[in-house]
Amino acid sequence: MSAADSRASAAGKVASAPESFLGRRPARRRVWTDRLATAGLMAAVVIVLVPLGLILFTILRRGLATFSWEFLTQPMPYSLRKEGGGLVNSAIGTLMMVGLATAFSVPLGVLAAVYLAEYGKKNTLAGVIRFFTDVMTGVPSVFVGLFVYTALVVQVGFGALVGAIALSIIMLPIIVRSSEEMLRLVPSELKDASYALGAAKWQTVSKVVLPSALPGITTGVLLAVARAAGETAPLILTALGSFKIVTTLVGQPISALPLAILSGARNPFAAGQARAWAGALELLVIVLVFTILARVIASRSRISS
Amino acid sequence: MRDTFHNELERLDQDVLRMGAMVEAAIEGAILSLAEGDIERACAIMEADDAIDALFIDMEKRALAMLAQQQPVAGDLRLIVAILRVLTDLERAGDLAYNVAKITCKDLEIVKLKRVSILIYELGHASRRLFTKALDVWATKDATMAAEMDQLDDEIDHLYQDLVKELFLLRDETSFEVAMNLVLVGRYFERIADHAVNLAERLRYFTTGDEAHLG
Amino acid sequence: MNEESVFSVKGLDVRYGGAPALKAVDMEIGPRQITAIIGPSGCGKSTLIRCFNRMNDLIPGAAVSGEVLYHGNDIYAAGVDPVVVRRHIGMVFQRPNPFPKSIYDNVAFGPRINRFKGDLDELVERSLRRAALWDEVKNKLKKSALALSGGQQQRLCIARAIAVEPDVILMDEPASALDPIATVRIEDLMQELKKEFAIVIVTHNMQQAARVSDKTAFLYTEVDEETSARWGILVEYDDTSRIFTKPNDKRTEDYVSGRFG
Repeated sequence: MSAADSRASAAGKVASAPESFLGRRPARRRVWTDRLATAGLMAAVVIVLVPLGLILFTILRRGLATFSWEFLTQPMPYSLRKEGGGLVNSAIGTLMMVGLATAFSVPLGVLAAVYLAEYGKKNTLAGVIRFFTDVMTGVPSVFVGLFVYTALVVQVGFGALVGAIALSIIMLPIIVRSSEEMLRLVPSELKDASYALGAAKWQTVSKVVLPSALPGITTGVLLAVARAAGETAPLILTALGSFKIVTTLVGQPISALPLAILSGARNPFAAGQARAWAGALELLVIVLVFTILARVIASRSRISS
Repeated sequence: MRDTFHNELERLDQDVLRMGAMVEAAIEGAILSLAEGDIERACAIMEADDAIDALFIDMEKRALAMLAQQQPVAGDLRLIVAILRVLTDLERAGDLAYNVAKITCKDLEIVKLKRVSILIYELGHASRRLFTKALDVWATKDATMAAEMDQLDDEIDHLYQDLVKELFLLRDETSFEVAMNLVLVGRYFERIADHAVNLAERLRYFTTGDEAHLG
Repeated sequence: MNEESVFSVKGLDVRYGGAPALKAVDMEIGPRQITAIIGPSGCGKSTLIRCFNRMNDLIPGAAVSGEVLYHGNDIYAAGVDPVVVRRHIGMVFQRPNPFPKSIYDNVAFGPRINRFKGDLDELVERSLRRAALWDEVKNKLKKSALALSGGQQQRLCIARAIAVEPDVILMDEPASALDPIATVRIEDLMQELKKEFAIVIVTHNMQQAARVSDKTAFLYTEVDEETSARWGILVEYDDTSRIFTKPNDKRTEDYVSGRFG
């Protein structure tokens, strides 16, 4: 503004001053559009959160009543009508099968990811592996159960091992793809530095690339574990379910938490249903713990870099 | 690229010639005023030396700023260094012309000493010609011309020695003061010639980058 | 070939997927001095320096022909293992790239890979001292290297490179990602290091090359008019003081004077 203009506006004659930014309010229409959009987005978030909140709330309400030390340590009563008892056999079954599945799928999956990210990269075999892995992430889990049933259960019967195999088939593609992404994210400068120090390829992969990607890989693994813990359909056809505490791997049908929840939910008796709700709460807690653990590890690795 | 810098450098280069022209005029004027005993002209020359000094200071400042801010290298660096050295030669030559004019103001009546005055004017003109040649060498950046200057400088040295001999021969006919002042004038012209030779030497170093051409 | 030379390069040609990148480079790198490689962007400076430790092998489609003699041995001869070559030649990169490990583990990485049997603690301390970083990190060797500042990280990378006791250190624009103070410290460090190591540095900063190096190589691009293919050639290689006061080639003169970039 020229000196004359600043003197004029100072004297209060705003009309003669040129357009100034000060003292003008934003256009009304723009403000209202902003507010409307914000409100709409918040409404969408609320709508999404409502069912989630309801689920959590319901499980807590219904499950907490039956949640007790007895519940956590006692097996299912033979008569479903009876009160008391617990789902420890299902918990043991879940731990066994998920544990075994992790033991199968993690080394296999991570090594496959290392191949895809470091050795195969763009060649045909790598392309084929990636394609089939992507397909498998989309296969309905009941198909996996059906496959393992036809291939194995028919021969050896229901059991923990075949259940674990079914779960690992579900976990494997998740682990392969997420680990490959994490390995790809390792900056090539780190690999350059390793090579420049005279490291061979396998040394670079094992001592630099894998350790750098480890937090991300762990996150992927934990999420896969959380997913497997909740799978029901494949276990129906492979583990079948049981009342007893089972520790053998082959030949004996075994229970798992999702199976127990399912059968308990269909149960006409209140006691059975109550146990199912508590079982749902237990499963929820397990899944929550793993998911939170995954996030904590992921964020800690970000902090250090 | 770096147009601003290179344009600035070229302006500085041209200003060397401008200052040179001012000094050349001072030398020419000093000779004339001595020849005609023109005290007014001599005083004008003495005043004009201020302008020469002012230009010298300005150009030094610009050259230093360019060194500090532009970090010149290679040819650009050699040029700026050459300019800085040449400036001092020009400024000294200007001072020498001033000194000659100052002596003229003492009104020496050398016109009466025929032999001596001829020698002095020859010495002065030769010196002025050498100086002009040095400026031509700078303007054309022609190193081969620079090589010829030594020979001309030798002639000037001879003229100076002849002058001293002549003054010695005439020692009974002139006063001591006059003789001394005339020797000084001769010396000043001889040193103007030396500065002109220096200028040409600086130019040779700039073009060839060969240390043999220094000093 | 000069017996003293650390590297002797003859007729070096580099192609990437058939397209020429560098042609007919001849040069000698002497011991215990700093050699700078300068030139406009895209003229092949990084390509050239990566030939000295066969890092170009890692780029698919890279083909190197000609001789690169390291103490008289051609590192590109048939049967030479590039991994072994790289153990004798250290390299520092443009952006500091410490491993996401502790400071100690970063410096110890090279020696461990090479099955170092002696006192590792002493080697780590010695390397950090030579890299002018020991005093700043001696109390936090187990802390993550990523917590250091950019300049410290780069000195850590230098310590890591010299821990394997090479006799040459290659530096590809080591200070271009650092602030001016950190840059000066790296340059001072280079003056110290050159008492023991030959250093080859690629830099796009001419003043840095002028300040720091003993000899300078100027690379420039040649263009094939018909195919528009571009490749780098070595235009001039001389003492740094000559290159920056009276270069022989007009292209060098124009480049260092900033008449083109």
